[in-house]
Amino acid sequence: MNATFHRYVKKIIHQTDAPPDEKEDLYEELLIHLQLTFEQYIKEGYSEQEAERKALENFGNEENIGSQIQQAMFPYRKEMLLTLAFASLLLSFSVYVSQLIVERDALITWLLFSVGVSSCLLVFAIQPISFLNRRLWINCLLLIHLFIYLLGVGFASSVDSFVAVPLSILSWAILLLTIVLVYRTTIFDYQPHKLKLKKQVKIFHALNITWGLVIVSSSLFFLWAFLAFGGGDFTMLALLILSVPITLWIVTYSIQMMLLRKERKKTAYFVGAIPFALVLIYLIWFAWGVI
Amino acid sequence: MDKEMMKGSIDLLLMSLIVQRDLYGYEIIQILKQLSDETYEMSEGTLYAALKRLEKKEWLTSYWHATESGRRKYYHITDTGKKELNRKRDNWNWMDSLVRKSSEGLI
Amino acid sequence: MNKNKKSLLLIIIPIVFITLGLVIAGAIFQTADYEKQQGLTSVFDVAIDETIAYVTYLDGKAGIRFRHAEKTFDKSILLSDVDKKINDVTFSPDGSSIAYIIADKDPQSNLNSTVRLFTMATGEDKELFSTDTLITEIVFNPQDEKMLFYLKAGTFENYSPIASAHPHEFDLYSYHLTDQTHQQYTNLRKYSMQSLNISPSGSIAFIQMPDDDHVETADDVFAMNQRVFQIPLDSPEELAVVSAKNREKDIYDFAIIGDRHEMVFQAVSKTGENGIFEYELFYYNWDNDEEKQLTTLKEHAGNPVIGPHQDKIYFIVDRKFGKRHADLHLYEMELDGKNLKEISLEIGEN
Repeated sequence: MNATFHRYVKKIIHQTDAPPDEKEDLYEELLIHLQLTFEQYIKEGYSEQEAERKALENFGNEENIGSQIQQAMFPYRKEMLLTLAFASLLLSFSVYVSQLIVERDALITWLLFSVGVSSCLLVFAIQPISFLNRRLWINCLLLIHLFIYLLGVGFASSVDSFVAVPLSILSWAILLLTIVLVYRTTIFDYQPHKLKLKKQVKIFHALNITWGLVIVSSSLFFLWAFLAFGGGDFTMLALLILSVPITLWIVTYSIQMMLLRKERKKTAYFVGAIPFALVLIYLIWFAWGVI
Repeated sequence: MDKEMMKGSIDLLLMSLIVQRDLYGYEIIQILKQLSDETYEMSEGTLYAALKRLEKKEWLTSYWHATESGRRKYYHITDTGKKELNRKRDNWNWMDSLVRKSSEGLI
Repeated sequence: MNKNKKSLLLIIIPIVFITLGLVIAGAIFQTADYEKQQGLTSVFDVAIDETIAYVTYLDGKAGIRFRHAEKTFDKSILLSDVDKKINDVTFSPDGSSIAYIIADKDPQSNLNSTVRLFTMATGEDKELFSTDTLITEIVFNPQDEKMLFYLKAGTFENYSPIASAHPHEFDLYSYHLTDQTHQQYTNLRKYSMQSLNISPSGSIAFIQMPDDDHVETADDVFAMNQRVFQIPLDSPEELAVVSAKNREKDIYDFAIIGDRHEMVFQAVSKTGENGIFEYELFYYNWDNDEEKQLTTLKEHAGNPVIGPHQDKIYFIVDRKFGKRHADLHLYEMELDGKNLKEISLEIGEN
């Protein structure tokens, strides 16, 4: 087939976040369309060059079409990511400036991390990047974003000035938007046609994300308690104890998804129950340790 | 035809065609051109974005089918799609009659 | 270059520049915590002639300033080292000199305390003694201006993994200025000791500490109360609780009123609307068990000091208690809580 058409369709596909199999599908579909238009023009007596030019012209600007298709497949994805990125940048800068002016504290490390993660989100929003597992990448990024801006809530509310109130509200809104995006990306994303048990997959994702948020936030709370009251006596052992539930969550989550792909529903439910049981034991053990 | 007007009614147009028989993208463009006496001007790529949108809303489903001249991706209307089409038609008719009556002037 | 990449660059470049600018501004304008302390602290004492000595910070540098209703002072004691703080001050019985404790702001890096004596008339300032432990409070013997009582912590560490480091293993000591000797009175190694008071006769010490006499189980630790003990100095083992024994109320800070078996103490009155405890001052007579609330400021009143003629209570109010930065003010009132007024203090300027 025509090399110009290949290049042209690739550019369109490049604008979308679609999963790999979906991209292949779309690629073939659009190419067939261009080819048919081209053949029609040849039949009407146009030269090859002329036919090629007219086929592309009819189809439209490739960037424009690409972003239209992206918007159709992932409605509001770009807008939400952009809103999140810009709101986060605004918060990072204003919290940093307020802390510097009011408290004379320079939160340089936090500023660099938060601006870094927000800029990555910005890049994701404007220029869809074709990764092998794009959804995993976006979710990882959102999770890191959640951690960093959880700290941001603390910094925003500890400014000893009236600006603490609007800054805190903004930071909570950012956290909320991030969580909404995690759910949206995972659950309501474009589902590949081949996948059966669609409903089960959604339920499992929803349960695992909620569970993950609980585990991550409680782990962070314990970490904070250790750091705040431990007087800097933070050992590797403490880090290990804290990272175990998170690792457990990631592993069981992956196994459940794998089992669902193989349509082994019952085994997936069983694996899904494991972290619940283990964290329950962990909590009892922790409560025991405190008393 | 006015582009804004076109944008608002493309869903209705596409579903009205697909409800009659399963179609693939290129075919749809040809039919639209024919029916509009070559005045249909929307860029062809936009059609695919619209098809994706309707598919995402689960009003259409798609499948590959081998024809004599090669593989084609066909679109098929779902039951929810049919219901939605009826709703859109009613709206359109209501608007159409209102426009007509308004054009006849005030009595 | 396509349209997206162009707009991306147009956004990313300003972000990078703003961030860089902010990092540079931060590096220039940030100030370490120990250089930030500003204004009044809760450390003060009142002399026989009603001169008030109070500790303030100016850009992290501690200093002792003086105030009197009629007199002005051109002298003050200002530390030049931002790493040091002043733990306590005490006027000699005749008000001619003032003793004070200098310690490191970060006791974990350098555990050291120095007690110095400043003569009011001459401005002479000399070191009395220095130790590698933490001295938290100091008070002159009302009967002997050559004798200082002090509280010393044996260790500075965190007792539990979820608690920050604090001084622990407290005991009561004295120092004799003439022969430069120390004397230990108690051997309690208490978890905490505070609010050292000496009776006007110079024979009894009063100290706030946890009432851990009957502590055997973990539950007892939580039920343990902070109470005021009297310790006869010639027989320190005969210590006894003088504050209300049967009440659950914790006493945090107190001052005894002369020989009258009365005291003014600080305790939580209730939880305020914003969930922060309200600390008020109370009166208590341990002969007839009479108690009454003296202040209703609904803030954080504390650090009571009884005036030299036993007619006034001086105390500190924190108007931003529970917030990141305290906002301390010195108040005075009569013993029954009447005639409350704020004493304005010179803090010093940059």
